[in-house]
Amino acid sequence: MRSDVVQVLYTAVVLGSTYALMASGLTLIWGGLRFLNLAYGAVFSVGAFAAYWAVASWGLPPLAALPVGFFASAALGAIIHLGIFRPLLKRPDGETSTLVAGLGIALFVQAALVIRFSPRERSLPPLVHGSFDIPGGVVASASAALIVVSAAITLTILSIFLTRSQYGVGIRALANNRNGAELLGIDTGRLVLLVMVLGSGLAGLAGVLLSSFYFVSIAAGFTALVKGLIVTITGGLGNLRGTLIAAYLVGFVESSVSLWLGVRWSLPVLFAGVLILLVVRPRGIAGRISFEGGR
Amino acid sequence: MSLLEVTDLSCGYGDTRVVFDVSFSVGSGDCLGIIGPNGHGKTTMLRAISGLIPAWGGSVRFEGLEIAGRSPHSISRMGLAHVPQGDMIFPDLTVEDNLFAALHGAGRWSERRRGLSEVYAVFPRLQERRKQLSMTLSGGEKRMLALGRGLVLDAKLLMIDEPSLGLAPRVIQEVYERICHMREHGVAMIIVDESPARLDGVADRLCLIDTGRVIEAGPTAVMLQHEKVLETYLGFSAAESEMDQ
Repeated sequence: MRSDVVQVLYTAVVLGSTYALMASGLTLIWGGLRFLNLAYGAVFSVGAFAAYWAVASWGLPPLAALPVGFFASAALGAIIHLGIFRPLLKRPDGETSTLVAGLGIALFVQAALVIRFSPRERSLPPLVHGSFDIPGGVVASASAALIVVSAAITLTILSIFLTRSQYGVGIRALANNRNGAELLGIDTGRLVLLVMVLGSGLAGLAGVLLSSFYFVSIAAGFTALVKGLIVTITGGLGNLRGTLIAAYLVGFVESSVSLWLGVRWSLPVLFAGVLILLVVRPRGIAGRISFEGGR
Repeated sequence: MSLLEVTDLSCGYGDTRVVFDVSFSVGSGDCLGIIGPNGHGKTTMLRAISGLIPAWGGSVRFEGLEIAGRSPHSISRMGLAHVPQGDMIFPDLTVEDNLFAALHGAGRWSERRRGLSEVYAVFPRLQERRKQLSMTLSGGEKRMLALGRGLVLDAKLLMIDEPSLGLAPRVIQEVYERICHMREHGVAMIIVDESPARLDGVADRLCLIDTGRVIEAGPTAVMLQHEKVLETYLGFSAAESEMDQ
């Protein structure tokens, strides 16, 4: 195989896994709650910075930073939900309010991180070391392989949780019809909190993994939100399989356009592709007709 | 002591009162039919009893405990289940997952399997379709699924809102056969139906509701001949029809 093709595929897989990780929490929150959490990027950054802080000041080994990032973001998600989103959602205009509130939280957290850590980019020590050759003359780094493997593990566990566990069935039921779920004795308030905590924790986990590969930066949270949104929306909102397909498709478009047309074309082509896809298939790649069966 | 005791219940939407000081009761194992023209508060009343909308006044006591103001899931867990109008099934879930969603209380897998086999014994069609997404079911099958979910909750009292709504006559008949089958499990029921004739042989007592108020209540056989019922459904009173003759 030609080495540039291998290079494109390799980059596509790494980028796709990156985007799948970025989108996993977002798609869980959208799928379970049907509301757009614009604070997601900030939660992602907090996970990364918590891990950085734990490694830099406590001297924790980098792999131990993974749970730190997960729990820091999960806790922040719980606070945001209980303190801000839940009271807002009880009001008649709740959904619009959460949109604006999410944006406000994102700006607030971003500013707080700048004050605490300065806007300078930091780096987490790599979680794993080394590299290996793959056929076609491309050298793959162990860090990149870790991203790919963790994306596969995270999304597999998430998928099994959603389809096999009692909580997962409850979350999918809640996404379909909240009143219907309540009438079956499902405590939907508690499940919503669980979704927020898990989704935020996943954002934090992705934050740590990706910061060890790229950088720990304030802007990374924004990238995570935007790329997460693109992947979630093109995949079919709240659909895990669609999200996965979309993540790798976006990764492939970016890497192939970068190589053959130049890096500056990758985003214009990507966004044009998303626009065309949404016009042709408004529900995304795997979107099927899903509706609220009665209210 | 009655299983469910509703006293002077009133409720509505926004500023509009729909149900006015309604009182009735249901004993264990009983089946109460609630009849009356469409749009006169029957569904609203059930929604207030199961906690989907707040009660504005009056009291709802289930097994002696006041339940007005509790959340729907806690009322459901107490054993008062509601099969709502429009079924509220989960279209993206398979038939079996719809039933599993109702089985969250059952801790062990053996308990869950027993729950499922109980439902499949009453609704064999659901077993045939158990791996299908429930959005692909026919209207009658969706209704069966909604009833099956009610059955699997193992409730003491099951409120079924308009089991015949939107179904063909033959399917309605089958749905009512299944409901009678469910009654053999000893569960008490409240069935709302626009038509009193369909409740003949199913309900022990009937309660006529018009413009959000209880007009008349009594044993089914008596109510089917009652002039208030005839007046509501046939548009004239028994007294008038005798005068015409």
